Amino acid sequence: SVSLEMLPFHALSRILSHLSFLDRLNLRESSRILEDSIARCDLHVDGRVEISEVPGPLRMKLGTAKPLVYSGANVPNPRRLCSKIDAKEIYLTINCGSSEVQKFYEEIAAKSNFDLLRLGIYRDSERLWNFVRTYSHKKMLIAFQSHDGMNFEALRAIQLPATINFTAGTRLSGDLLKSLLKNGHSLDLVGSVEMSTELMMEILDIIIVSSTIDQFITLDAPVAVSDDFLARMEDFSRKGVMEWRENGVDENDRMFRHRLWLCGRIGVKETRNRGIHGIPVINTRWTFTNKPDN
Amino acid sequence: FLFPIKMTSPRMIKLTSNDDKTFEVERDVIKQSVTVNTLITDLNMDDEDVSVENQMAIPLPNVDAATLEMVITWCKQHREDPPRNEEEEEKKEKRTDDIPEWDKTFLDVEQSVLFALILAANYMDIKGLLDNCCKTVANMIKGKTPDEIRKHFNIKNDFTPEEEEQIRKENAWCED
Repeated sequence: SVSLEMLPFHALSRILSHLSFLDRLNLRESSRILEDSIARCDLHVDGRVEISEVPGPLRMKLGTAKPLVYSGANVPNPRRLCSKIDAKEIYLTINCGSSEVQKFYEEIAAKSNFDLLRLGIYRDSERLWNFVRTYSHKKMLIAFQSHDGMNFEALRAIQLPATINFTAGTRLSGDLLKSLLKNGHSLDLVGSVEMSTELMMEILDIIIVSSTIDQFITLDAPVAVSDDFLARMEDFSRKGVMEWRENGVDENDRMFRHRLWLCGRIGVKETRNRGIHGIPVINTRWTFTNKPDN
Repeated sequence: FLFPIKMTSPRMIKLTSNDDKTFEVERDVIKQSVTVNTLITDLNMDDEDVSVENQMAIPLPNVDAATLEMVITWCKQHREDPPRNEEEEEKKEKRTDDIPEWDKTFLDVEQSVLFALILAANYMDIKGLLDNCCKTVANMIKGKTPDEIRKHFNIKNDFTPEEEEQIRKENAWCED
């Protein structure tokens, strides 16, 4: 009679697609035949490579909401996979500090001829930052899931424009922030940086004067919206460099929205419940971008 | 006025299992099998002039009679199902808690029967049946340790102790 180990590739693949990371791991550890079969299933699929399981929130940040072709569970034997990688995008989620996994992602990256590295980072380590420096010439999309004690200064080393998504509560110096923007990186700072109006003005200056077409920065709205600030925003808006996302309920927001309407711009709703400096007044996030409207 | 009404019986197709048992099944029912459907089309078997008695039986060399009977039962149950769009199916969130109740009962069979159904559904290319069978197997695997999986599926542990140790080492990073 037929057994699980005798199922054809296509059927086994279907079964695997319904299993979680650990379930797949347990299945492949149950017999050599299954281990080999699962390996064949995984290597059959080409395209993107993701190493390690990416939890939902971080997956969203990395822009990979759709299940990926590879997950860590699809990698029955790292050594075997390493020799066969031919992917243009690789996804690495560095979610543990063991030297085993560090060696693993280093090997994967070293043997891949990738163009885009999507990197999810949970923990800080010098080895991690060395890894980032090693691939600083590659296009990167980085999402942090933790910020405790992280030394973000190493981000200055990234050469090509990257998209960096900071986790809520991150403290970044204004100097680093401006430096990252000047280097052409796009930053998602919602919930992560307490920003004075002055710093925000400086940042907007950088964006408006020197940003590239694909560069963007997403911020919480400042609480204090002065007339000067609004005038500046309108100017900014007229020049076509701002996309305003709002879920505003307060008077300032309404007024701001109305004035932006007059400028012919409209934003997309985005709910946030975070204020600046601890004052939860404006539920607004703004994405500033140089991308022209279609 | 009375008009003569031509009563048309449903078009039947003959299928033969690998143990030489022949089944007659409605054309509309078996269209769910892409393999059989393609054969019918390629062999011009939709020609109405050929009676079922004179019709060639389609051989299914990879399916035994007992399994074929179950496949036909499943196809009859699902004859009204809308055609599957595989691209859309691929985009859907993967879940195993959406097996219809009828299928759950139907697939509550011995493992050997379930695996035979998977082979048949795979060979006959009946995606709905294959999908529900695979989900059923996935549900059996979920939450089990390697040892429990071995026991449940009667799998022999063919790793040497050294290999097991090696695997544990290689996968240690997953446990972090």
